[in-house]
Amino acid sequence: MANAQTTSPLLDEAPAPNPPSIAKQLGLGFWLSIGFLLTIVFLAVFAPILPLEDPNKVAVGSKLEGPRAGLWFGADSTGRDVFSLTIWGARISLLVGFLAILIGFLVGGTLGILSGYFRGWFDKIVSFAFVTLLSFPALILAILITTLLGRTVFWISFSLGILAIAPVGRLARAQTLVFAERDFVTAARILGAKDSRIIVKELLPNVVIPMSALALLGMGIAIVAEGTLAFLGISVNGGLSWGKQILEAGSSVRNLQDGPHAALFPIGVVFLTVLCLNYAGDRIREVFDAKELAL
Amino acid sequence: MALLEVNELAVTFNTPKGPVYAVSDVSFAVDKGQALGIVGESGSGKSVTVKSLMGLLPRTAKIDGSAQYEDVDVFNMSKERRKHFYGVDIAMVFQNPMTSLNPVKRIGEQLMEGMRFHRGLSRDAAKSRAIELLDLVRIPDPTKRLSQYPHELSGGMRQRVVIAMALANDPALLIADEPTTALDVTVQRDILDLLDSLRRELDMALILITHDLGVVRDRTDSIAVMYGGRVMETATTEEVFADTEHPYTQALQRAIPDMSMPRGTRLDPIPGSPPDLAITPVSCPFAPRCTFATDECRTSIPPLSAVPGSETHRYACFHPQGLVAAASTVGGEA
Repeated sequence: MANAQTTSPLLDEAPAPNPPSIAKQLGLGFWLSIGFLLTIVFLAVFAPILPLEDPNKVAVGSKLEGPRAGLWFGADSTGRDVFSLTIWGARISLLVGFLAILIGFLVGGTLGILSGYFRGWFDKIVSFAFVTLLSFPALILAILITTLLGRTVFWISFSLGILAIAPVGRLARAQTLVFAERDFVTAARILGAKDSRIIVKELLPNVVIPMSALALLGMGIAIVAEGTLAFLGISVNGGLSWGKQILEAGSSVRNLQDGPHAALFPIGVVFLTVLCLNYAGDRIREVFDAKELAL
Repeated sequence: MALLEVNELAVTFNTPKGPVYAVSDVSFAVDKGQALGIVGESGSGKSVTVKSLMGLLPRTAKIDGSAQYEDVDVFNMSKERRKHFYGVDIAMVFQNPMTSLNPVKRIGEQLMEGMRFHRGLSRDAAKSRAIELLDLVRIPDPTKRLSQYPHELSGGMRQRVVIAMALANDPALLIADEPTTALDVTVQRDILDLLDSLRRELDMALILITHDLGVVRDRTDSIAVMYGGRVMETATTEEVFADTEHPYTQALQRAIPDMSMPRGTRLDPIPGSPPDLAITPVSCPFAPRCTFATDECRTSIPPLSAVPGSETHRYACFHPQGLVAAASTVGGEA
């Protein structure tokens, strides 16, 4: 019949020009950020086997000695190697940031997706819990948990993770609401897919992208939050962290005036790390949001 | 025998504000390999009708009446039968191709899922079947498309993929719910023609849902016109256009634009708006907008009656236009 129309090489479909690859769209800044972050992670992970000064060894340099070859970040007020301190501090700071977000994601993400998908009374309870968490003063909650449960890496991460649950969960819920209404979910259901399959195979891949952007932003926030806790003197007992390092270097006005580098170098590293996390997270969001728009 | 026979279907939603009578007393039938057009404006109950058939209504919906597909009672089938019913016996094409494909999964993956689930095909077999299907819906370069994501395709192309997905398991009945509403005008015709020729090629029955009477004119064997959750008129496509009985069908016809109309011709809109379905129906739903409405129309619901001399043509109106005109001609001659 009217086949001439349909069999002809489709008039409406000009062959789409190959769009630039995702790697290219993310841009140089994204890859520089990732490069910096990977370097920091690498140094932190392999600190024990790298040829670094023992961060606890005093009088490696003279008191508040400025940076020089071999002592790149200079020495602090007791003559410890600031570079080595910063690398060792990264171990705990990064671990706390990562664990906190992991907890927030596992708990918040799961609750958010389930409540967005199933709705009903479950959604009402979960949403109320999120709002309650959000309205709780963050600092008080963190102080409460660390004081009651102990100042170990896990409990500090846990207290920051609890704070991450609500924002992550609300994003996951909102994204799930958007996609659960789409016809491809209905189509999967018509084809006989169970709820579990729809959630894992159809919804999760869509929800994970915006969530991964939030994860990077959240890690930055958690790292800074750990610093805040350290500054209040309630960070990890014993070990080193960026927050504690900055606190120690900045606790005496005299020291700060004589050798500001002891505080400025770790501050700079924290600043760069958080900047890179934020930038990378933003780029992911922008690139994939644009994809969504093209749909 | 009809492939699908729907009898006195009624769907009621219990809402906090009281019951909503979304669909009442709807009957129609589709034969093997035939095309049925369900025509109606927004809120006429056409989508709810289809959703009830596809088992997509929420639990709060109350379904009365029956739907018989071959030997299957659609509203009361066993869990086992149901598992391989939708997508295999009856498949569906959705309105918006922008939302009926998963944006983060490759075309191939989405195409292959259904057949692997229902037929247990191997990856390779499913892949070659997927290529075959894309070829069937006239997508050029099908092998390449398998590894593309939905956003890399245009709207028309995506709707072809959605159609290919629906055809994956050789359904005997395809339901297309306004398959072109979300597409560019130039692509709409292509997609409709594609559905039409696929139906012939695959000897498949088709239910085409649309709000455009013009769309179904050349592409269906029979038509059911719905309004306010009820069937207003049902007949073969020929009968509907040759001998329109219901004033609503007439009004819809006057609203079809035609290229041969002289410049400046105005289409006749239907005044007023569709009825509120939350009110217990006591009158013809079209009465408030109908120029022929009398007191009878406002106080009782016209039953579906047959046009004399036709087995297929039925209408729900106290003032059947074709018959009235015929009667007056006969009267004039006498």
